[in-house]
Amino acid sequence: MILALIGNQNCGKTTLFNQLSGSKQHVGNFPGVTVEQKIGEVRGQKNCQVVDLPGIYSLRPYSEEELVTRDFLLNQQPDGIINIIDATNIERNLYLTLQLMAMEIPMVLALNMMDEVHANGGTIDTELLSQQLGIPVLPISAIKNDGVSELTRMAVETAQKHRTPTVYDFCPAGPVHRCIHSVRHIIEDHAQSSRLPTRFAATKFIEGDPIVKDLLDLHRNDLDAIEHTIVQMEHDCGLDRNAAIADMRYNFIENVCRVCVVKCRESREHIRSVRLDKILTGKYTAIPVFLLIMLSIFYLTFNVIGSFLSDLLEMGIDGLAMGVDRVLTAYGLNPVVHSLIIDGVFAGVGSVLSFLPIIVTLFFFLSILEDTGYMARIAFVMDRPLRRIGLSGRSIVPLLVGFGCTVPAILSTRTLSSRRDRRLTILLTPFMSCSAKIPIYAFFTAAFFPKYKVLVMMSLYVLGIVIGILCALILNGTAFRGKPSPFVMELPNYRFPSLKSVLQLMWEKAKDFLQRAFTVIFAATIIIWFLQTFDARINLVTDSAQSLLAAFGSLIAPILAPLGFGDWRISTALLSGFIAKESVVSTLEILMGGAGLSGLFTLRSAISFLVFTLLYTPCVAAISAVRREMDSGLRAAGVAIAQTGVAWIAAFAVYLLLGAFL
Amino acid sequence: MSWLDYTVLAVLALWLGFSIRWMLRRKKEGKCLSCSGDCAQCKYYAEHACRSQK
Repeated sequence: MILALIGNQNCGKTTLFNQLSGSKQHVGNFPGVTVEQKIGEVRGQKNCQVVDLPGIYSLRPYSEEELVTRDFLLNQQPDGIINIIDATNIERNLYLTLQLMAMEIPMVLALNMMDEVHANGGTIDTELLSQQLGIPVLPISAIKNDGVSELTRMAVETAQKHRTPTVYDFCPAGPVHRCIHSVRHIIEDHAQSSRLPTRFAATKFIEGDPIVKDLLDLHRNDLDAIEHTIVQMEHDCGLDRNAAIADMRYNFIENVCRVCVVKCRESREHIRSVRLDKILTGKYTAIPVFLLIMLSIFYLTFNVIGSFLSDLLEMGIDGLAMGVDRVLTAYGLNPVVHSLIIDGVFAGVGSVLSFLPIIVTLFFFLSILEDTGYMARIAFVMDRPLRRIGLSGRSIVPLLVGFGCTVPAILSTRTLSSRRDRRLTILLTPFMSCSAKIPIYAFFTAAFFPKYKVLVMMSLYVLGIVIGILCALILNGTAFRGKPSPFVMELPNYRFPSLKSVLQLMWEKAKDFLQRAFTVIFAATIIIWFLQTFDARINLVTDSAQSLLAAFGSLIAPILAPLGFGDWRISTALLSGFIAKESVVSTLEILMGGAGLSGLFTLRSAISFLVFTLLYTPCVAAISAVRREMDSGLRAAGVAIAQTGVAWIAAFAVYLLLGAFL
Repeated sequence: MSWLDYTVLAVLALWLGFSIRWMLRRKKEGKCLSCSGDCAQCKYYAEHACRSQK
């Protein structure tokens, strides 16, 4: 048995999904977190699965989320629907409920956040609401796990007994009623042969849904008759077809709520949020406050907590390396094996590992920002500036996710409704510096800017954003002319961050980083060590400049020479960064063989290198995500080449500019 | 080369073998090798979840 979990954005779907299935999906406090469907086994029920679908407001195929949900309902045909709604905002949420009811699938309605409704003096007569809608209605609090077991039992029972909604006619006698029933009559046979619920197909046809129109494949005469009926309805109502259908649904909802709902007063959380928003989203204060918050986070991460823990870990790793070195020397280990362990594994994996605290600390702060509801405000604040550069406000979600990792960021562009917005955002997302680059920045700033770590880190992030903006402006005026689609989002109330979700995110980050360090980075380290220790005839080399790796690196080095870093070791490190960005650090560490960065870089070339690594091609996983989303290997290759080209130009410009001062 | 050299090399080879197995398995499951992002948001992760449930 399959149950579909459907609701508006930010109404607690993923929280309920986690409660139902016992899984630990990331719960975002801003819209667009769920892009694809996720499946989990329902706890305590045999052969029963629940599918978490993206948050939507209607079943019109405007955005990818709506398409995913609609396709699932029409093609997968789940046994039942759990429609979760935010009970504090019941009128708006019921709009989707009415459309789901027209699908003629057994469903139950879960009134989430009922604890908040009661706490603020409101009530909802669930029995009366159930009668009015013709479906079971259950009050729950997903976050407190209240009423979830009763909801599961009811959803399973409704699906098993195939109890479809008993109310499906929402329109009182009048022009809309006449129109829907006439269209329904005309399309009935076609809808049945296309396996579409007739009421759903009729209303969607009236609303001009292109997919339903294609599926029904009506004759010319039928189309003319339907168009005539719709025009007649528009004339009689004085509203266009979309407004007339929406008006019909909202009138029904209004009548239902009038008898079933006692509205709650404005909650304390909302009053507090409105007060805070006067500053945090104020016209003149929003951006300075945002910059101040980010500067504080960077300061605490790179100068205080993260760097302190990182130094401690580095001391521990160095101590361990020295101990192992002594033991291996005492036992007279073969010099090549000794070098593999100390110069290869310890230098490579150890150097990357020491940056773990910095990444965990940064994500600790970012998860707090998200959990409090501030991340959603950032999206709101950035809407206007983004529109000025030709991006949709919705693009902020992928761009923000891009600071963590480019791969999910590119995937989350599916929430954008227009192809133009999606492609433009995909092209710009890699300019947002991903967390895998943090070890590179930290490695270089510690060596060249020990007193100005925060400033340099912040400047790099800002530079990535500025270059992204410049590219957006250029693309908006050339290859991506057009208007961005509108952005509608709901701002959640501010709340105290949940310790559980913050710790969960930190643990996920740490686990992922450790797994990669001991597998991908370890394998890369061994390969790099091997290639720099042996020549083409697998003879041991005394000077790594004669190694196999030097031969590869020397091919690319001349291209990078104008940027100030034409050494084969640096080009090799950059190449390894294509597999995983952290590899740049481990490769440099191995190839430098204990010498400091100053042996390879001057201050000028170090800055140029940082700019290049900030902007050059994202890793192979991100490029393959681009290929999937753009549906073209050629375009993905184009993105990688263009990105590297931009990086080269920017690094060259910085190198030339610095030549005047340094 | 002493027995200790061979032991150390064997341990490293085993580690490398496990790493490659982990990477291959991860790739087979449709997960990314070099993505440090949130797997729960990833299409590959979701697709794998769907496949394994079926």
